[in-house]
Amino acid sequence: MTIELSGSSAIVGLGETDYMRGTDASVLELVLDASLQAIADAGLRPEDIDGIIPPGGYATSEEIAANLVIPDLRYSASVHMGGASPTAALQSATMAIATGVAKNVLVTYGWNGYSAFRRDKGGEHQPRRRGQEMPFIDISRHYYAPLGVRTAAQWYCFYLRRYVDLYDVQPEDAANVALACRRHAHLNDKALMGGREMTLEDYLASPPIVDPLRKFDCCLETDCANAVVLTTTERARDLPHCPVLWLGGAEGHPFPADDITNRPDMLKLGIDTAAPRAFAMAGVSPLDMDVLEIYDCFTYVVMMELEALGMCETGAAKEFVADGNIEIGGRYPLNTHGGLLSQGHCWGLNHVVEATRQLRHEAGRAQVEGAELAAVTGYGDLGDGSVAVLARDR
Amino acid sequence: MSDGAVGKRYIPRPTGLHRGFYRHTLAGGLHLQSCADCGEQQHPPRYYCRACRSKALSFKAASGTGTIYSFSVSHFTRDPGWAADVPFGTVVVETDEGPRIVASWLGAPDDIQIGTRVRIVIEPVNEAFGILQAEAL
Repeated sequence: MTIELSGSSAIVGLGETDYMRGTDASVLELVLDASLQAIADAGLRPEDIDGIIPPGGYATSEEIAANLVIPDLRYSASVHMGGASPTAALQSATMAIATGVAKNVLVTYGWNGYSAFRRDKGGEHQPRRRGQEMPFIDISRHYYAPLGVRTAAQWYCFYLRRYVDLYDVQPEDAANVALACRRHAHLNDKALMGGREMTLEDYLASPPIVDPLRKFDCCLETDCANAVVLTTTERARDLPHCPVLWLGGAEGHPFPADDITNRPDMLKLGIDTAAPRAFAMAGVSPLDMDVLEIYDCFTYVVMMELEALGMCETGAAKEFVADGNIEIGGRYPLNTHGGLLSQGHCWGLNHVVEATRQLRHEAGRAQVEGAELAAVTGYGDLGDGSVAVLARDR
Repeated sequence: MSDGAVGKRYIPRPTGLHRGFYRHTLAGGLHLQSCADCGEQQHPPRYYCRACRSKALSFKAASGTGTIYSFSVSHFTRDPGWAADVPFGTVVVETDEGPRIVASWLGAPDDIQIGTRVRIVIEPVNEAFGILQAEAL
């Protein structure tokens, strides 16, 4: 018996804490709060949840079930692809739902993305738990970290340097991504940078972090949590909100995934292999999208992701992001909530939440008129990727 | 995450295949894992040959020379042991044998260019580990 995954599941509930710089709440508490919001938003009760995909290293499905009083958990899975995890998790949730293994699956991610790095600034300091190290920790420990190379900005610059040189990408090109996200943040009630203007001059004047990255090329660090609930499309039609269908999706990994520097083509991302699979499953083209929510750890990475997704030719992202094309009002509005760059950093689950709001037509001032199709990307670790194609129910 | 310390820098205690890599490189200059069955050379060391999946792997002395393939210049670091070095350059060197090695740039960060010919050296830290470095030929 072949199971048709496309359109078999729908997102029915959304939960979102504030995006904070410092909080007394623990990660588990943030995750639980977001989860309860999502379950209520779905019109369900906590005991209806029978599948959980938790943030590995920060909270376990056992802890979440214990605190929410979920007595009979049937499905739990852990997705360890850094920022690609939430979008990839939608595929696992759909597989559980489509096979009948679970009925209502909770996908949740949260962390002390701000407080864990700043011991002196108060608040709960819960770094990633031991035993849940990054998948590439062995290579990083032996060959990157001893050279003072400890952060995502430094790892990714190994390929961003080649990208900007090969395609003559200028700071003004990357600025288009930062400026679009900032403009969209002003339309989002929870965006950390909402109301804080950024001009091109501000962007160019922001201090260098790791060439070519400036401060305003880099995502925010926040304490927060998000949650979504999925169920079958049939059941979704009896619940309060317009269902948002998982039309297709995929995960992809560069090779080797655990070392950037020995890839034959260092510019190939996981999204390069995930995107064709996702769109083939969904039966639509990338160019059919009405909204794009692209994992924006860094502006230049967004440009590479747009090419990997198939929105434009390789090297042509600098044209794609210019002239208002990615702003609300343009053809391909991107990160309509402000993204990781200007809303907050919730590992890209906030991109799934925003895409769902857009397709429910509940995005308020940021609503893209008549939005029917959205693509969400996840990107994590050393370039692992995931794609989800979401559709408004007819 | 620190296994040891030099000043405040993160210094690993090498484990697994990486112990052999660093031991050989400290003793006799850059070494690369080499396959006795097909001749492929690879880095980082793995349990199987990436070309033919043979387990007949051993470390062989390499020329130590290569070309800069990519680089980064860090104006910021989370490692307190590197704070005084900011801004510092890190280069990805494509060795003449093929595999790529990441190394600390010994010159001025502004001088780094893709395509520059370099030599890879190692600065011993203890008998198990050293810092890979690169300088222009």
